[in-house]
Amino acid sequence: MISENLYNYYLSDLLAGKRSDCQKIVQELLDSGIEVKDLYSQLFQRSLYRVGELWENNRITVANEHLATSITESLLNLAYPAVFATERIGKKAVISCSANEFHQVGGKMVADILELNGWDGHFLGANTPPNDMAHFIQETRPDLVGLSLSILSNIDNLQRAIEVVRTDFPNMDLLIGGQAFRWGGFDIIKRYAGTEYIPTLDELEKGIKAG
Amino acid sequence: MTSIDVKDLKIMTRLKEETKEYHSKLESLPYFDALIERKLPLECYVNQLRALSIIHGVLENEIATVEDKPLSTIWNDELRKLPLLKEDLDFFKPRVVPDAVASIEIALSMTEKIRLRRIEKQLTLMGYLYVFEGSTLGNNMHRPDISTTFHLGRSEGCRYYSNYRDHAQTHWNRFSETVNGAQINPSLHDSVIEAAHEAFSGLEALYTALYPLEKSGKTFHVTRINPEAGNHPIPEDEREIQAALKASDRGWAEFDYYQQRYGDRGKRFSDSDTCWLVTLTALGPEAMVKQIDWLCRVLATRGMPSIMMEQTLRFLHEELSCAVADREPTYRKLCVSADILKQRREHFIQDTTLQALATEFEQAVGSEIADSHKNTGKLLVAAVVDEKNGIEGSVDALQVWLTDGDRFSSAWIRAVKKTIAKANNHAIMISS
Repeated sequence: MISENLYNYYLSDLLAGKRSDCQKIVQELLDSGIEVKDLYSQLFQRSLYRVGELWENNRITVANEHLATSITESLLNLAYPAVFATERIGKKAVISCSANEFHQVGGKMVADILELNGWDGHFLGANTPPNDMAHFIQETRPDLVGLSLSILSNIDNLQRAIEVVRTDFPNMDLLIGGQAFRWGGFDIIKRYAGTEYIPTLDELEKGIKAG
Repeated sequence: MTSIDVKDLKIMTRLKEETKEYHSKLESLPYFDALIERKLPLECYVNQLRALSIIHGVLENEIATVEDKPLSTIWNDELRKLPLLKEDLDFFKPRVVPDAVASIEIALSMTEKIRLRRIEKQLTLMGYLYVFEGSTLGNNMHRPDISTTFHLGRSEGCRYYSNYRDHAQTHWNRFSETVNGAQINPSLHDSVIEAAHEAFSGLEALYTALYPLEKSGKTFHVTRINPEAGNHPIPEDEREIQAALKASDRGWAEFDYYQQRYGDRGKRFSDSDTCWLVTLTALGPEAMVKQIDWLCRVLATRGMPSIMMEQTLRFLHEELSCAVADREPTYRKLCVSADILKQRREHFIQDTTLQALATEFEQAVGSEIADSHKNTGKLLVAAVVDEKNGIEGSVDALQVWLTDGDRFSSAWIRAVKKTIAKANNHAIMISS
């Protein structure tokens, strides 16, 4: 667990753009043995949501928000020694952001959680055209595909990606997630069989452990 | 050359020497070969203008607001290129050149770097300014190629390229003197040069993507409406885009305050936001309302009360239904959302009271002033209601500008404060 005090120090440093101070906090947490999942959800995710709220309420600029995202992305790398230490279980996943979706921190965290649980998580990154994604799935033959959406009005692109997966790989397990779904959009997911919405990293981990 | 020699060099000298290779590499790209041979396709040129408008839009806005002393003394509004790029893009509008997504994405990626530099190391934006201001010399050289290739008369369609006309070198000499005279700390020269390298690398990627141009399925990107809009969705049907722009014009025309406070830049954001609103009609009703609420909050905390959103949604429904009649049932969701905003507003202050308070405000300031500040009274009341509806900071965001003593008389300021106080009292009475 991350204390409220520590979270507030981190948030303050993040908003001030103090990259090295943020790095110090994260490294100390990792050295103390924090679970990567807790680091991601209780520190990174929570602080980025807060950054988003502060921008919405005109308390910080869009540049502050971009810097916070950039710092957070760079700090994900600190967890890699832990993320890739687990023995592989022979399962593969392809995680992608839909076309025109440029918020990729969430997608990266999902790929990392899968890696932590012994999966080979292939993260395709932001703004992946559906055909490129399909080509990669064809080559990789994963056990599941995950699609991330941060901006709800981009849901058309998500739908196109789902349709490509459902058409070309009808039996593929397909997980959908992302902060866009705070606003709704579940009716789109429900239209497609074998497609599941995963609201949190906790739920993701429970799901993959349960098989 | 010893390190002591390097430190003694003026920054402009170092920038010139240490970016020479980047500059040569850029000029040797196929784009410029095609330009010199007068074979460059129009869509490559127009998409170049689009990409540059994205970069200049952000760069100029960020530099204009820096606190860093050397940089703020170097910058002046005459250096702005965005207005010229917009003129050129307007000239080519009738030719409906599709947006080249790859080059736009590269431009957006450059703007991300510019924004980060603005926060982390303001002064290094000097490196970008050097590269883009320096390109005016190259522009001047290519002006005849452009005019001939695209059969342009005078400077139509190439205002960006012909900005300094035959005085490009004189301008550049003056710019160099200003930069050298700004007394940038020599210990920071390296980081400025690094930024210049980054700018050149970005331009290399951009011009590589521009020719030959990869066809994309998309015709319209939001940056053609507003270069600073980033990457959010807009309609793919041009009729819907034109309807959205008309609705934005009508919304803007209802309140003089918006043009007075936010100017042309604000209008561009209103245009791109209204285009985005059209895309929300693809969502379910609940999701759509939530998205509109989100935008209302973003705007109200920046001094734009939700009453304008309410009106714009209705204008948008009208314009869209006119433009694409068979989709009217879908567009009707916009009215439903507008009705919800109205209901929330009337929960605290009925329309009749809002109008009465607005009229009192107009009488207090006098008809001549009221006429040139159309519907400001309504905005004041609406901001109070937004605050009551949980959008913290709505009143302050509006009031701070409308009570600026440098802008308004003491009589006006008294009337603003009185209207806000009265609206607050009415709202308290209804809610209690």
